Amino acid sequence: MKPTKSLFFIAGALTLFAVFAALVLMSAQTVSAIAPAEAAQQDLKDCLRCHEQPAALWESSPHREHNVSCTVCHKLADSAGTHPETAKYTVESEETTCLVCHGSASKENVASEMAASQHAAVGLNCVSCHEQHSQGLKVASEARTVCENCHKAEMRNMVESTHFAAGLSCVNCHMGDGKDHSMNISASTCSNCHTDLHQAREMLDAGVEVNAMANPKALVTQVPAEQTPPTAPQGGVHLPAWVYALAGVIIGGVAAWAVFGREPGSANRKKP
Amino acid sequence: MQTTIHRPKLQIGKHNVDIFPYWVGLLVAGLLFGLVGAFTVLRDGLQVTGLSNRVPWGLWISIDLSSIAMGGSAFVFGVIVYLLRLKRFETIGKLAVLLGFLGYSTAGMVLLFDLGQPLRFWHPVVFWQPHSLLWEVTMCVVLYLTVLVAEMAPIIVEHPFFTDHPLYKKFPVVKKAASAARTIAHWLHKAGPALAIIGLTLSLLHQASLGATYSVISGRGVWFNQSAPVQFVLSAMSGGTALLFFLGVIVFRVMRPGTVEDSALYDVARLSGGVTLLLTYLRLWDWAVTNYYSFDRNISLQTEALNAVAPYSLSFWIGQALLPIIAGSVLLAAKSIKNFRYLMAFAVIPIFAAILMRWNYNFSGLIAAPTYAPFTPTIIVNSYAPTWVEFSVAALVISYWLLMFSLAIRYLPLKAENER
Amino acid sequence: MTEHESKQVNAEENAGTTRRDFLKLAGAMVAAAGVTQFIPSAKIAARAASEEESKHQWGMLIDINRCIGCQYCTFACDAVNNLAEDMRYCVVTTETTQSGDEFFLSRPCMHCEEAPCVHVCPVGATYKRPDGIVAMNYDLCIGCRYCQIACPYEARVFNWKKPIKLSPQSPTFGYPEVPNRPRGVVEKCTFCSHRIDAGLERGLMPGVDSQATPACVVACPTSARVFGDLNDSESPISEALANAKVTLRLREELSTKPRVYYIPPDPKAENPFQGS
Ligand code: SF4
Ligand code: SF4
Repeated sequence: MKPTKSLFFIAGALTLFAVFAALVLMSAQTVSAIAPAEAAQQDLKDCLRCHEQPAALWESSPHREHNVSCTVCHKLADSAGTHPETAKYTVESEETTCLVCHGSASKENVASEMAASQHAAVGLNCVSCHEQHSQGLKVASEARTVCENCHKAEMRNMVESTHFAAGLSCVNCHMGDGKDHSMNISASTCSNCHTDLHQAREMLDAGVEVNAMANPKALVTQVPAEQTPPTAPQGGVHLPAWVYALAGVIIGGVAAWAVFGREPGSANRKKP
Repeated sequence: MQTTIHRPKLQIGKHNVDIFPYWVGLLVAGLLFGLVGAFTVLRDGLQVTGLSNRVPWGLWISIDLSSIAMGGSAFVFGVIVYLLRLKRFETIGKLAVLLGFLGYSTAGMVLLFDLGQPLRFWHPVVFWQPHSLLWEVTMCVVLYLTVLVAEMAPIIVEHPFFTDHPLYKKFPVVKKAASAARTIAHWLHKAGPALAIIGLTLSLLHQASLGATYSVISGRGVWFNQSAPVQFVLSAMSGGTALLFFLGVIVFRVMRPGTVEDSALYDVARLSGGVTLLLTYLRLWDWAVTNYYSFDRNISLQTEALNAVAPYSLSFWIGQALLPIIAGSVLLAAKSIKNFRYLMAFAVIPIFAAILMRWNYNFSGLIAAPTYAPFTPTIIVNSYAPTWVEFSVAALVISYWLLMFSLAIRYLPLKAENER
Repeated sequence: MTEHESKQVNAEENAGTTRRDFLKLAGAMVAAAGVTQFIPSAKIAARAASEEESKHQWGMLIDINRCIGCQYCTFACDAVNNLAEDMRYCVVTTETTQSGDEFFLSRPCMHCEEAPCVHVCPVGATYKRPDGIVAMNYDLCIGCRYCQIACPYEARVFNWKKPIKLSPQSPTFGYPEVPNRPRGVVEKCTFCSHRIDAGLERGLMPGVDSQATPACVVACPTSARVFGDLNDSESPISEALANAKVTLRLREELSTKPRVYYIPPDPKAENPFQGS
C-alpha cells in the first residue's frame, strides 16, 4: 500500500468512527429525552438525598407529572470536580430555562402573552408569581391571592365587590379561561357573563349568589383579617397605679412626718 | 470599745416592739417574690418583659442607673476622707462605702437579668472593645466593686460574729482560712487610701460615662447632648449625698447616738445642697442651650411628642428645677435650720430628682424615637409597660438593697479607724 | 483623675472626638492587658487586621421609583434567614414625600461605614468585615441591646423568643440558608454574606450571579435593588450609581455613611403601584 492510500484509510476509519460515536452519543441523548421517567427517577434518587425541601414541592407539581426533573432546569456549572464538594448546579436565565418549554414554540405561548403584559413592562418574570419548584403561586403569608402580594389596594376594593361575593377572583376577568398571561381584559370579558342586563338580573336572582350577595360582607369576614395598620397606641411608659400610689405614700409619709413627727434621735452629743 | 446600737422600737399600747424582725420578714418576702420573677426571666428569656425592639431598655436599666447614682456618695467621701483627710467624716465615710457597695452590687445584679445571655456576663472583661462606652462602664463597675469589696472586707471579717462563732473554734481549718482572710483584709486595709483613689477615679470616670452612654447616640435627638456626662456625675453626687444624709441621721443619731457629731451631718446636708444647686444651674443652662439658643428639629419634635404622652417638660421644671432649687437652698442652710426633720424631708427631693433624671433620660430617647424616613422625618411614639416579672425582679434587688443595709447598720461596726 | 477630665472635656467639645479619645485610653488599656495576659493578643491583632480594607466593598442601590411595595425582598429575607414575622431584617414601609406623595421605602441594614452599632458593642460582637459588611458574632453577643439603641435605622432585632422552626415564607420564597440564632442575642441583615463568601469561592461575582447575590436583590421582581462591588467601576452598582441622576442615603446628617443608596422618588416617573 502506498502511504497516501493508507492515510486515506486511516482518515476514513476515523471519520467512520467519529460518525458512529456521534450517533451513539446522540442516541443516548434521545434515549434520555424519550425516556424521561427513568431520568426523573435517577434524579430523584440522587438529588432527594440532600434536597428534600425542593423535592417535596416538586413531587406534587405539574413538572412532576410531565417528568421534568431536577436536571432539566438545574445544570451542572462547568467547573472541575464533583457535585456537593466543588461543582455546583445552577439555573441559568429564564430564557434558557422556563422558555425552553413555555416559550413561543409551545402551544400555550405564555412567553409572548407575558411579554405583552404590563407585568413584563415593570420587569416581572415567571418566578415573580410562580414558585419554581411547585410551579404553584407565590402567595405571601399575609396575602389571600398571589395578586394581593402587590395589588393590595385593588384587593381591598375587590373584596367589597359583588364579583367577589359571587365567588369570582382576579383571574376570572384578567386571565379568563385561557389563562391569558397578558392579563388584559378584552371586549368579551364582561359579556361572557353579562350577555344582557336582564340576564345579569337573573344571575343576581339565582340561588346561592343571591344569598351571598345579600350580604357580601359575610364572605369578606371569612377571608383572613385585613392587615390594618395598628391604630397608634397611646405611647409612653405605662406604670400600674400602685407604683404612683407607693411613690405618693413615701413622699407624703416623709412630708407628714416632717410636719408632725418627732425630731429623729437624741440631741447633739459630743463624742465621748 | 463597743458602741451600743439602739434599735428602733414601736410603741403599741404597753408593748415595746422591736420592728426589726418584721421588717426583715417583709424584705425576705420581697426577696422570695423577686426570686420567682428572676427564675421566670432566666428560664423564659426576656420575652416575659414588656421590652420590645423599639424600647429595648426599660425599668431595669432605670433601676441600674438609679442605684449607681445612690452609691454616688462613696467617691465623694473617698475624696473627703482620704484626700482631704477630714477626720470627722471618717465614720460617715464608712456608711458611704456601704452605700456605694450596695448601689453597685444592686446595679450589677439587675444588669445580669437584663442581659439576653446572662451566662455571658463576663464577656466584656475578657473580650475588650474599648470604643464602647458600655464596655467602659462595665469594666469600671467591675473594678470599682472589687475596690469596694476590698474596703468592706476588713469590717466584715473582723466582726465578732465570725471571730466568736462556735464553728470557728471547732474547726481549725476555718480558723486558718479566717485568719488568712484577715491578713488579706489587713493588707488591703493598709492600701485603703490607694484603693480610695483608684475607686474615686473609676467611679467618677464611669458615672460620667453612664451619661456618655446615652450622649453618644447621635440618632436619637434628645440623647445627643454633650453635657450629659457632667450632669450624671453631679446628679449622682447630689442624690447620693442626700441619701447619705438621710440614712446618716437614722444610723448615727437614732441607732448609734454619739458616734458622729451633728455638725458633721449638717455638713453632709450642706454639701448635698450645694451640689444640687450646682446641678440645677447646669441643667438650666443645658435646657437653654438645647431649647433656646439653638434649634434642633428632632429635639423639639421629641419634646412635643413626650409632652403629649407624659408630663415631660413639667417634670423637668418642677422635679428638676423648682423643687431642687428649694431643697438645695434649704440643705445649704442646714446649719441655721438645725431641724433634722425638715432637712431629711428636703433631702428626699435630690434623691427623687436624681432618680427622675435618670428615668427621664433613659426613656426620652426610646419613647419618642426619630424615624429614618428620608423626606418627612417624624417622631414615633413608642410605648412600654413593664410586666410583673420586671416589677418582681425590681422587688428582688430593692429588697436586697434594703435587707443588706438593715443588717449592716444593725450588726456592723461602722467606726472610724482611731476608734477601733 | 486626668483620664476623667480629658474625657469630659472631650465629651463637651464634640462627641465625635470621644472615640479618638477612647482609642487613646484603649491603647493604654490594651497595653495593660498585654501585661496581665488578660486577653489573647491574637484577638487584638485579628481585629486590627480586619480594619484593613479588602478588595471588594459591597453596596446596594434601591431605586424607589421601581419599588412596587410587594415586599418580596422581605419575604425572601425571612425565608433565607428563617425569620419570624416580628423579626424582619428588611422592612418595606409607605412613606411620603414633602409634597405628600406616597412611596415605598424598603430598608435593609445600611452596613454603615461608620456604624454606630459597631462602636457601641461592649464585647465586639458586632464588627466590620474587611469588605464593609457589618457582621455579628453570635457567640460573643451578651444581649445588652445597646446596638439596637444606637442604630438610627431600626435595623437590628433581638431574639426575644426561641427561633422558629420554619419561617412562614418558606418554602414559597426560599429555604433557610444560615443556622438559627439562639435566644437572647441581637441579629441583623448580613447582606447574605454566606452567599457572597460561598459565591466568591466558586468564582461567581456577587451582584451578577444570583447564587452569590443577596436574596432580597434576587427576589425583587422589578429589579429595584442593585448589588455589587463599589470598588469595581464595572460592577452593576457602580454603573447604576453613575447613571443615577441623584441618589440619597438615609439620615445622612448623622455621618454614618450608609452603604445602601436610594434613588429618590421622581414625581414624573410612572409607577402603577405608587400610592396604593
Ligand atoms: S444600619 Fe444599623 S445595624 Fe446596620 S450598620 Fe448601620 S447602625 Fe449598624
Ligand atoms: S446586644 Fe450583642 S451585639 Fe449588640 S451591643 Fe450588646 S453585645 Fe454587642
